[in-house]
Amino acid sequence: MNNGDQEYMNLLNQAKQELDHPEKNISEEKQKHIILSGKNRAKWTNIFSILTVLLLIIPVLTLMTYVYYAWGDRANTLIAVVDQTMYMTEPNVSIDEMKLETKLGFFTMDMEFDLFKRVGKDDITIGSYSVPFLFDKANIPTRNYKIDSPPVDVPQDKDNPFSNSDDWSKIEHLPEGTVTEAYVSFDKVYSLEDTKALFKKYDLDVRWYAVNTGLEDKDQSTDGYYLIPIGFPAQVDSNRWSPYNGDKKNEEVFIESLKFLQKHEKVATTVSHGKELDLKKRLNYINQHGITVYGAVITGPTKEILKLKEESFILSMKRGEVRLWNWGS
Amino acid sequence: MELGFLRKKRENQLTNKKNTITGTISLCLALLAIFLFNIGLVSKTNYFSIELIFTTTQMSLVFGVIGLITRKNRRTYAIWALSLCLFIFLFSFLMIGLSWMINPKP
Repeated sequence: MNNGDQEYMNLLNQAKQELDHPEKNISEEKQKHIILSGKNRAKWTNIFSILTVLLLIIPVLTLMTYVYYAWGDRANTLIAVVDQTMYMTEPNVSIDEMKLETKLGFFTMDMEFDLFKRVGKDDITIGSYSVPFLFDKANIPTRNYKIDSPPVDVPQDKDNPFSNSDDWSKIEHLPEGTVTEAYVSFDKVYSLEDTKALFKKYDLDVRWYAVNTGLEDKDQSTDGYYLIPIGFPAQVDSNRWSPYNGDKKNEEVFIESLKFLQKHEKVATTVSHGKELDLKKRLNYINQHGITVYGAVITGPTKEILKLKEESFILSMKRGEVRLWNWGS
Repeated sequence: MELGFLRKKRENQLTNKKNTITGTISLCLALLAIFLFNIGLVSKTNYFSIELIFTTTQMSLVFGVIGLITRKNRRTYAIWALSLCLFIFLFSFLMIGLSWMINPKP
């Protein structure tokens, strides 16, 4: 190896060392600059990382909530439970399903809707109902009634609407140009056909049937709680989204509702104004004995309702809402 | 000459590690869009319109793509911003679909 080769080898080795350790070739000032810019970069990357994580929390939770309620039609099932519970446990009450609102929070869902009653020929708004859900567990609903005498949550025996007989004298004093809603109980249980026949000669509308489920005599559930009446609308609902929209007979829908609500009895009980619904026992009774009726909600001209006072099949009457004449000319 | 090129490249790797300006702008815009989204979700109002949020996202997308094709500097922020834009679009798409599945009445 001559001198030239030796020099060339030295140059190559030096270049290799510079490639392997480039920092040795960088001035101190430049090294400081590199460290400073590295620190800045790390700082901003940290800031952006934290911001990203924080800002993604709400959208991700929202998305998870929507997936939870959409998965397996969970929200729609809960809506159907609430809807059908209302028709079954609230006499002469209907819902405008089109205006039923659902608001989703983080794994919560609030269901809000208005309640309507038919008094005479008009549907009146009696109030609003709000049912909060945490996951699929219903919480105690909030009821805001706009009417004078809203139903009580858990009426005791003395408040039982079917045991009050003073209401005849109350509606006797009402003027002729009024329409009244009345809750009537019968002297015995009747079949649906017989019940329809009972009111045939009167200019009245039967709005809701109170169904005999074998537990109404005591008004107590198997666990001793006050048992609210259950029943179904007597008329076909013109609202296409209502379960009683006429696609099937109302009594068939009622049986289907009972079976459906039995699967979701906990939610149905919380949503209703009773403490227990005893649906399994009631459904068994209806399956064995068929649908029989022990009372009904009727509406019509006050004086027409007053005529029922003389009827032997009427055991007692509870006055409901009263409005000015809307029965037609 | 080859050694000189390699040396320069290695030196650049050490010193020129700044993110692209377009990538940084893109990331800031994407974070702003998500921030506006958050306000909308928390307040449940349309105080910031959907148009504003999507305009911000689209601007972030444009800057992000430019940042991505800039070869000289780091592209981390650009990729980061584009991921956030993708999340916003995916989130909106899923939310519309899921909203239709829940209480699907006209």
